[in-house]
Amino acid sequence: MSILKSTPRLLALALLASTFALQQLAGAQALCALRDPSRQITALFPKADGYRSIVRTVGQSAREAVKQSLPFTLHFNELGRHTLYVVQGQGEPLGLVHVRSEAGEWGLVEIAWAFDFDLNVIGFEFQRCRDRSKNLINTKHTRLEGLGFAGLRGMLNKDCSSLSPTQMAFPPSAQSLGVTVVRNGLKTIAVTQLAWSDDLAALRARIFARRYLPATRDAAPLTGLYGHKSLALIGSRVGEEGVGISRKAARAFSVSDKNGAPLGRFLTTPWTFDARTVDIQWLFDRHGNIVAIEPRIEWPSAEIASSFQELVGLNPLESDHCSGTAGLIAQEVALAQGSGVRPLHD
Amino acid sequence: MLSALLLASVPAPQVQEFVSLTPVEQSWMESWKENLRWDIDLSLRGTVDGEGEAAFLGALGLDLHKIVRRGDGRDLATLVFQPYLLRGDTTSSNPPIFEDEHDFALQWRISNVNLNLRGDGTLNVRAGHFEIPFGLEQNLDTNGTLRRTPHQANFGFVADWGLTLNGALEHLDYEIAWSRGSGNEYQDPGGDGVLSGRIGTPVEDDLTLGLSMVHGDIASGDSTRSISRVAADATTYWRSLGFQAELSHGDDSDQVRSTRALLEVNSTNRHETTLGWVQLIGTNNEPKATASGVVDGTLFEARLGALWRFSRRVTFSAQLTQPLGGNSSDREPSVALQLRCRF
Repeated sequence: MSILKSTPRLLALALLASTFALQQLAGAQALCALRDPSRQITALFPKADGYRSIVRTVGQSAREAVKQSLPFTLHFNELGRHTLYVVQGQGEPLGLVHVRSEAGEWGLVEIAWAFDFDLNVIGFEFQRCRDRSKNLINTKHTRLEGLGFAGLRGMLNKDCSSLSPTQMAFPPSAQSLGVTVVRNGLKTIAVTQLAWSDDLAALRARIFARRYLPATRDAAPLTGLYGHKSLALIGSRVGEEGVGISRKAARAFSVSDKNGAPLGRFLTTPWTFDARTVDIQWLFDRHGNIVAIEPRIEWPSAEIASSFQELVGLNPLESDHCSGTAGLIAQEVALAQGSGVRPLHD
Repeated sequence: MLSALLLASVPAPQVQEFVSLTPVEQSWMESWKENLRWDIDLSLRGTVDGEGEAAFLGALGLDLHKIVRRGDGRDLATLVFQPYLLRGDTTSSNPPIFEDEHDFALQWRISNVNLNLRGDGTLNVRAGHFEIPFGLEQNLDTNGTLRRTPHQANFGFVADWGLTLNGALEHLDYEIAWSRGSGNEYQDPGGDGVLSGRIGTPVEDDLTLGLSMVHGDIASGDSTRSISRVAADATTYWRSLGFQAELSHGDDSDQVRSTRALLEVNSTNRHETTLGWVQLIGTNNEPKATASGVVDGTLFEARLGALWRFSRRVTFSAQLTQPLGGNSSDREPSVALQLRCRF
């Protein structure tokens, strides 16, 4: 009968736990059941020799954000701590793998998606799926390779409930699972962009820098962009309103070699011009000279592209040739770093 | 407008000395929280048998999962740490780690480090407390749930202390282990330890097949008993239905030849927030010619269970166990209910 004595205490503890449970973010399953998609990673990246896990929280804000961009959103079971895998081969990042689940016709479908660093599809593998029509669907047959969010969105109708009539990407007997796959791909891109935005920015910085400075091994985030003194100086040079750069969204990274020695800095600055926003990527060497300027997607015009390209090789704070809008933007970006023209390290 | 902007000319500014950008520093706590998951897991289980005898099992534990990186950035190891405080009251179906009918006990569930030797998951070394790689349990993980595989019935415990080699190859999953045979306690039970292993087709295939073996000495009271088992297991799906089977056979202490079979049909909804299962279990213990005083025994029973996941954190499950016959059947039907919260 001592059971009966214990019961009220245990029930009180359960009630307390449930109260906490309503406020905290916890996983639905025991954590020992987590398995890395190592077999899928090898299938998607045959040259891979390992991967780096980055665990981040996918919370209510991500759920709301997905709802803004898609006519459906995450199921409550999909929230919690999740892993993005940065696949590596011989020390170089090859791509990304993220696994997300989707309610299929016969239970949850878990798909391991492989993306490049701009979140375009490289391929996908089923990690769990009870639907036998999965054997009719693979990356080659579905022509999803190379598609980004917009490309995948175009494969579905307005409410994402069926395939667009113009799309013949899936065999007739696998149309239902095909919708599940595309919906899952859209959700995976949206969630990855939201929950791992800082990590993606660092990866893109490293890859961009390595193209121009081959000794690059790491890109680490920097803080202090647009400090008070920087803003005062920028205000006196280019005006309080600035030149259309979204200062809050600007990011800076220190680029270093395998010994940790700094090689320069990478910055990404969203610039809005004529209602179009361009994510401008800057690479400075350690003396403050511009090594490269490129848009993440494309320049609004060839004229603008040319005006920015003319700045390559110049130091915006030393050169008299940094003029015009592109020059002003370059000066603001240089001043925002707060280091003036001093070398980063002697 | 564009031309006007492009033609605007501004002289280079005077350079001033002020604070430069600084690296984003991580405190030791932030570094530790990197790639860390943890939950508090609380469960309450009540069981009532056909004679009205009630039993309770309460469990409060930490469930921690942490990935450690190597110098080149790739994953080096995964740490899983699950210490649980159990409260058991009056039941033979509770784990055999309680010393009294009303007792507290520290239970180590899965607590180990899995070292990713090659970096790609094909060759790993696990050290610590892990599930004996055998049968359906390898892919199911029923620790702390009402749904069970014959693991506990075969070995007297689910997890043991030791080392394994494990990995996922292109067409094969494998895990080969040596463990102490002591179960929950990290102690030397006096035997030669236990060699166990399972190889199986990939868990994501339409049909998963596995072969397992166990051979060694496991703790039994204050001494040990020798045990050997071989097993075959299979899992497949048809629409929302899942089908699972495990057949094991082997000797206990050179006294009994034991054969155990489990058949399960389960069903889930599309979000997998509900799960129902029916299990049929058959056990035959046959005395060996050398045995004396060992009685032939068979037992058949059915289990009907259901699980509802109300949210990510709260799960309720129920299971009815009904003996179906056999000459050693003196067991009563029973009903178990469990509330599990993770927060």
